[in-house]
Amino acid sequence: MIVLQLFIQGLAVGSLYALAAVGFALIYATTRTFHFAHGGTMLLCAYAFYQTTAAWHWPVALGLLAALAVAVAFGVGVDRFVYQPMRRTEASFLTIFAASFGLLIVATNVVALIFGSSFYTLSSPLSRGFLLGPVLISRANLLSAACAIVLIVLLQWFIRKTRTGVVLRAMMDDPALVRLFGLGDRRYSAAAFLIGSALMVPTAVLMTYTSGLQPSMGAVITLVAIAGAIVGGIGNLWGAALGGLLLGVAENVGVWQLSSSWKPAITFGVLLLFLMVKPAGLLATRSRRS
Amino acid sequence: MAAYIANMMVLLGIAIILASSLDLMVGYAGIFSVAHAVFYGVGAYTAAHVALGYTHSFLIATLAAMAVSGAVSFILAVPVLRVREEYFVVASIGFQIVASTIFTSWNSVTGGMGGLTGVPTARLLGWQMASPVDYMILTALCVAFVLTVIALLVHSPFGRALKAFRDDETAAIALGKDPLVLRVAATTLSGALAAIAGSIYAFYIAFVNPESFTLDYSVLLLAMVIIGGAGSMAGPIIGAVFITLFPALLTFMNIPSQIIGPVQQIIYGGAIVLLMVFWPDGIASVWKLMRGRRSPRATAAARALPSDRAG
Repeated sequence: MIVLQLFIQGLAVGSLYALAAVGFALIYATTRTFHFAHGGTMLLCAYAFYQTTAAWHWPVALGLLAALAVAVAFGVGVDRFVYQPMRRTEASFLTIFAASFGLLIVATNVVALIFGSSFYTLSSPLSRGFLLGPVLISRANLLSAACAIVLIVLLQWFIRKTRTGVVLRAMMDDPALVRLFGLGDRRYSAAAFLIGSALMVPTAVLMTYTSGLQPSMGAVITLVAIAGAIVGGIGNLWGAALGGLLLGVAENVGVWQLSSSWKPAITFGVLLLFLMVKPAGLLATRSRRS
Repeated sequence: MAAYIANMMVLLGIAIILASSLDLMVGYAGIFSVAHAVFYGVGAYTAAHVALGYTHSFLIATLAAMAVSGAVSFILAVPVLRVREEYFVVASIGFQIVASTIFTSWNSVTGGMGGLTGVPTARLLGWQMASPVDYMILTALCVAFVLTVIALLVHSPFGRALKAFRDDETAAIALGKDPLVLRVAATTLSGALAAIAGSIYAFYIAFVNPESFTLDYSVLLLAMVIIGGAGSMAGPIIGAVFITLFPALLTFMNIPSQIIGPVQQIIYGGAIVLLMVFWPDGIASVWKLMRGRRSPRATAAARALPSDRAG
């Protein structure tokens, strides 16, 4: 029965990973920016929530707003001041990657400088739950799954039914097309970063409650987001969600047989396996012009 | 004071070997790897095992380390290099994390967290190392060897073919070159050269444990290559000098010790961001510019356009 409990836990954590992976996939597919600093968004957002609610005793709703503001400001700001100038000079993939990598290092260490590298936890009624047969389902588990389902469905609706969404979808298919129609990618890349960063808020806040905060988590979340997007099939938002979910489950169920120090190794075992066996990912999109 | 300087020079030499061998992948083969500390580590563990179990000979231990590390990088390269460059970056991070877990968990071979202790001092062709100064000379010889190998490689037909792929893959394939073979060869060589640094480290420090071969160190090595300038002989050396000596400089500036780590990292990270936005070819290109060669912007654009496979 322990396996079932771990599986439920995996689904909950996987839902949060799914949101991170979908955000990364959206940004990557629309702007071709390998946003390695995506975990930095999570980190700044989580510490903003911690600082406002735990240290300054703001109500949770205000703390959430602050977290959202910080996440969006970082994502959109980085796009505006770092990525856009680089895309204009047609910088190579590796140049943009290196810059993004530098941003993650800066974000991680700014947090370490302000808060220290010690471990922060928040207590809340979220850890309480109910028994369903032999397994315990906590409120945090339910909330994680609910956030992921609602936000991902909302995102799918958005990119299908709204004008901005349709342009984003066109950019996913062919960025040259968008430029051709004279839309200019500035506003829309800002939109992609705004949405992608905002999707990080539930992940940041719920992980603060369930697993605690440490500066090194930024890198972990970046890697999980990218791994999820790749496992799912890069450029496919449903695939990214599925990939994140799969990684969460694999990581937690793996603990059944291995010690928990193997958690990150499991994630990357899955990733390496996919790269070797099925590099196109779970839901491979039709091949793009390359 | 002589010992202090010699110690710093040994560590600097190790960093130069690692950064230069990493640049073989990053700057010439166009492969971004965040797993270089793994090859350094595999080299160090192998050399330590040889020294503890068989012989004090630096030469034999180093050759064994190069063989094992080269084999490990070959095993990584063959399946993974077939995928796209952005995947390789992530796969290499994954490889580093898996390897770090193995270093700390495979007690019978790596000694776990405690590592391998009591590595004897090195002997090279009858010369018994005793002081840091001896090791400084040994390191200098190794640095000279590694840089010579890299310089010869880069200017050989092999090196030119690698650069051809980095700059224009389609044209290179049209000329009948096989990118996979070249990239696997570059990765294997890079891993083998990194093992030399691992061997020096194992003999010099006399013990090996997982803390020296972490993801953080791989990141730092990549930072050396990027900050100095990838794809040049001088770049990784400049980067290694900057990142190795910089902490020493900070200690003289009376910065409280508990914040020194994050402050350093913020400066490195910030330097990478600024360089990539304004000067993507690194510090080495500034020097080239002053010597009146090609402008860095033009070089960057020339490199970026054909290899920009996005879209």
